[in-house]
Amino acid sequence: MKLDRRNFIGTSAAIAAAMAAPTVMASGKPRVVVVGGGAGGATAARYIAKDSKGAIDVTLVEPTRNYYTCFFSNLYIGGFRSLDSIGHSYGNLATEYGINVVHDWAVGIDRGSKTVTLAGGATVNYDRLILSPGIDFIDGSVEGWSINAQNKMPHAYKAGSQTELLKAQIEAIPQGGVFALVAPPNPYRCPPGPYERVSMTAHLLKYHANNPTAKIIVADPKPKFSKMGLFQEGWGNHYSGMIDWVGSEFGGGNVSVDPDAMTVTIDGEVTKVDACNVIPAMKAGRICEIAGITEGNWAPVSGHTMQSRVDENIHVLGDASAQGDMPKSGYSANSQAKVAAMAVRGALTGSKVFPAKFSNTCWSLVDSNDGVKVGATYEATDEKIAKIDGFVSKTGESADLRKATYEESIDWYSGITADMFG
Amino acid sequence: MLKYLFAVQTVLLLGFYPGSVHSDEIDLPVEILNIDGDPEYGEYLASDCKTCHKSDGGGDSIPNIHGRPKIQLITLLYAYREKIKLNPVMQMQAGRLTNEEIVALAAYFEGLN
Ligand SMILES: Cc1cc2nc3c(=O)[nH]c(=O)nc-3n(C[C@H](O)[C@H](O)[C@H](O)COP(=O)(O)OP(=O)(O)OC[C@H]3O[C@@H](n4cnc5c(N)ncnc54)[C@H](O)[C@@H]3O)c2cc1C
Repeated sequence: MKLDRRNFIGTSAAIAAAMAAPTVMASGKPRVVVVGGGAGGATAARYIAKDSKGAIDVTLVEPTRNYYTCFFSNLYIGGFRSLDSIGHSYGNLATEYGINVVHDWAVGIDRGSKTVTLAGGATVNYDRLILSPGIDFIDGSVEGWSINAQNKMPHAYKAGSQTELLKAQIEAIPQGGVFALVAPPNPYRCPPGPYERVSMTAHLLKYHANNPTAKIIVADPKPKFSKMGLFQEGWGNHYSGMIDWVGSEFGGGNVSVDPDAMTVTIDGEVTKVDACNVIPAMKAGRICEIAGITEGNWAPVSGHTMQSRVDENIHVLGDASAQGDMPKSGYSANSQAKVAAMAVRGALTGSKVFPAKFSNTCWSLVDSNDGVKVGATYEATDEKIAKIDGFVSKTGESADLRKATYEESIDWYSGITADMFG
Repeated sequence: MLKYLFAVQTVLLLGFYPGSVHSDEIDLPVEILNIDGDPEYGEYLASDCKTCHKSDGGGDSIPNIHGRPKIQLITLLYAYREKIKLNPVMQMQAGRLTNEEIVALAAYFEGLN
């Protein structure tokens, strides 16, 4: 993409913005660096590049060349999607939108000089930095488990090889064997995710692995979970006798694992397992901590612009941010990215800024053609992103409605990935 | 209130939602029809729609709404907001839109091809 000089000079606000920022004058255009090419980062990079029409230089730093969406990764486990169908490349963002896609890790951020250091040694300057690094796991949050054990007991909470591994391990469970899932404490990415995973695991065992007598034990540190009534209804209808959910009242939070012995201990009771999915407690992607913008485990932001409460030149999107009422979901990250993109363009080129509006819907699949959903709209207050209105599927809905909900989720997936990657 | 007649075949084009009222008549308040939508505001509001509605090859459940006639989109959004049409995601999305915002969105999408 070429800078359209007439457009640029014609925008007096853009000139004012440029004068105010010396680095901008040096490079000719204001620079935005986006760290993380997932639901938040890819969307933000694309919207800034697309809507600024070349007036902003956008660099996207993302280590992987192929982004596997966590959304629909449970459907891959259930046999409803191929792995290829949930993988996306960054080619379009570079060729169609002129984004400078750099496949590397950001390892340092100097907020004073406004530079990002990459693992390869290079540094990139920014006028505005957008961090959307997703999550990392809290070390030691599940006794006995560490990242060293992720091959024996996968988390599969960052999609790709971990998801493949988990699926292969579920398929290898012997007739009537035991699968355990250790669920995470709040807050974590995708509130219904672990329970959709339980459903898809049961589906895989029952229909594809020819193992309907296998047992699934869920150790949960929470007393209740997202869409609980809907999942429990579905588990009763489709996978009767297969799933045993142990909530916090029954010691589900008092759990440890031994990846070498392949045992899970729940409230003192040791169980030998054939496969185990440990989903540890989560925190903001580590780069937020390195940038010094976290408070506790997450990076607090203003809902009006998604700007960090610590540094107004940094916007934090998606799972890593502490923003208020929105769940940590791909849909939320995508919605927040558009608000941030508008705010960044407004600050750097003087384009019009409208009041922030957000929305989210999370679809989950319980069994073939049995889809459920939960959604809400949100607005920014000075204190947080606040929920306005919402809905959730109801128990006892007709099979037609559940099928329509599932079909809607397929279109949503196709829509959001096009919105992220162009 | 002006009675705006909504063509039956258009409703069917918009996809079947189980339990939906397939009304072929929607009562649009006349004041909506007198608003000039601001397409620039519509463009911002539309970014929310584009999470699900693709610009090409939309599906049967979530149709492509790019380039749809303005009156059709106004009628639909109004019908969702007033809970005449039933999809809960669309009722929620339209539920927070003012008349001005509905027209701004419709004007923006009509201008796309
Ligand atoms: C099993 C499962 C099912 C889910 N289902 C749904 C669903 O149905 N609907 C939904 O809306 N959401 C769903 N989610 C949640 C969704 O995947 C996340 O909320 C979403 O991906 C968050 O977007 P993000 O941009 O914050 O992070 P991510 O999408 O994870 O992107 C972060 C990116 O940053 C990169 N990165 C990290 N650190 C660095 C660094 N230092 N330098 C450079 N790059 C870095 C990573 O490689 C990654 O690509 C699901 C999640 C899981 C685990």
